[in-house]
Amino acid sequence: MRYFLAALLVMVVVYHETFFSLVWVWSHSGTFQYGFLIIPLVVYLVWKRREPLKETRITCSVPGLVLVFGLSLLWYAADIGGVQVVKHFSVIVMIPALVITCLGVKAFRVLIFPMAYLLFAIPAGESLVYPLQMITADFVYEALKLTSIPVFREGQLLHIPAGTFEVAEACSGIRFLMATFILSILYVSLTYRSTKKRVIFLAFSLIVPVIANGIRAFLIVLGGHLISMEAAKSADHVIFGWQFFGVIMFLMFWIGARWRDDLEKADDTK
Amino acid sequence: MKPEEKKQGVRQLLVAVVAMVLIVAGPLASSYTNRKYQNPGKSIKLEAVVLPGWAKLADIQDRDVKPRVQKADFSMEARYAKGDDVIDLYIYGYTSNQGGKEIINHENTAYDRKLWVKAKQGQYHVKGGSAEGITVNEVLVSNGKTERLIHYFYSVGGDFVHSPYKVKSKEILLKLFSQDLDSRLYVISTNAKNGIPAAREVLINLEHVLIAGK
Repeated sequence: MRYFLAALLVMVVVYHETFFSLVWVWSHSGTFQYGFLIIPLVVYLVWKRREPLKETRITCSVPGLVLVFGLSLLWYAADIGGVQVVKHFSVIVMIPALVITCLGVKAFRVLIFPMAYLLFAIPAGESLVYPLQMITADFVYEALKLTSIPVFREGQLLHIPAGTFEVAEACSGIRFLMATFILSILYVSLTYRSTKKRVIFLAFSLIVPVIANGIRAFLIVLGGHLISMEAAKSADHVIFGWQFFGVIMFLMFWIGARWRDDLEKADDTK
Repeated sequence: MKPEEKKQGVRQLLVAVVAMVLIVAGPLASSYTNRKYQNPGKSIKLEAVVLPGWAKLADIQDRDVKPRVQKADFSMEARYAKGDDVIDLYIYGYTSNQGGKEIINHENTAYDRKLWVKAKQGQYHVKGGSAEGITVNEVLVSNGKTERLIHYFYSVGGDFVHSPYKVKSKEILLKLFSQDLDSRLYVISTNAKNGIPAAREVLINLEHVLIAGK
C-alpha cells in the first residue's frame, strides 16, 4: 500500500497543474460543481471496502505499467495540443491505473466501483447542452400548444403574446441531469442488489430530470402568459432554482426506497 | 521476513519505481517538444480575397455581426455586396495553441452570444466544382428581428476542416514534427431573410473562391 501511496503522491506533484485546472473548472463552471463531491465520496466508498481490501493479497501488475505509460503519453499529446479535457481524463484515469499497477488486479476488483465513480470528476459532457436545450424547447412548445396559448417557435426562441422566451444554455437542465445521475449511481449501489432494479432506477434518473426541467421551463412561460413577464423572470430565479430540483430528487429517492433491498444481506462491495 | 515475501516486496518496489518514471515521462516529453518547437511568432499577412462579380466594401460598419474571437495572431475582415446580397467574411489566425491563445477555445464563437440566439445548427457540404469540396458548420442565429446564416470552418496547415477535434489532432501532428502552426478560423455570414437555402447560395459564392484558392 505504501508504494501505491508514494506513486500517487508523485503523480499528484508531477501533474499538479492539471489538478489545479480541474479544481478551477469545478469552481468556475456551474455545470461541474458536483466535482467537489466526487473525491470525498470516492474516499468514503474505498473506506467502506477496507475489510475486503485487507483480505486481498496485494501484488503488483506489470501490465498495469503499460496503462500508466499510455496515459502519460496521452497527457503528453493533450498537452502539446492544448486539450484540457484529455489532460483531466489522463490524470484521473491514472489513479485506477496505479491501483492496478501497485496493488494488483484483485485489489482493483474490490475497488472497481469507487474507481469507476472517480471518472465523474472529469468535467465532460457540455456537448449535451444543445440537444438538451432543443428537447426543453420541444417540450415547452408542445405543452403550450396543448394549452392553446398562441406560440411561434424559432429554434430556441418561443414567442407568445406576452413576450419572447429563450431556452438558453442555463435552461438546458444539464446541471440537474448530471447531478441526479451521479447521485443516483451512488444511490443504486447502496440501495439495490438487483441489477434490474439498478438499471431501471438509473434509466429514471436520466428521464425524470429532463421531463422535470421541461415542466419547469413550461411553468415559467405559463407564468409569463398568465401573470407577467416580470413574474416569470422572478419565478425563474426564486422558485424554480435548485429548490425545485431538490424536491424532484427527494421524491425520486423516496419512491425508489420503496423497492430497496435488504441492506443487511446486500454487499455493495462486490 | 520470509525470502519469498522479501522477493515480493522488492518486486513491488521496482514496479512502483518504474510506474513513477513512466508518470514523469509525459511531462518530460512535453517539455522537450515545447522547447524544440519554436513558435515562429511571425506576422502572417493575409491577402485580400477577391470575389469576382462582387463589390468589396471598404469596411464592415455593422459590428453586431462580428464573431467573438480572442488573442488571434492575425486577422482580416471584408464585406462583399452584389445587388441586395451582402456577405461578411472574417478570418482569424493563430500560430500558437496554448494557454488561451488558441483557435479552439470556448471563448471563441462565430457570433456574439449576447446579441444572437442560435436557432439551428448543423453541417453543410459545399461542393467545390473540380476541387474537393469542404464541409462547413452552419448556424442560423436570430436577434428577434433578423436572422443570419453563418458558415464557419477552419484551416490547419492549409487543409480545410470543420471539426474542432480534427483541428486539434492536426495541430498536435504539426507540433510533433516541429512545423509552423498556422490555424485559421473562417466565419462567413449573410442575412437569411429569404430562408436558409437562398442564404446558402449566397455564401457558397465566397466558399467556392476559398476552395479554389486553397
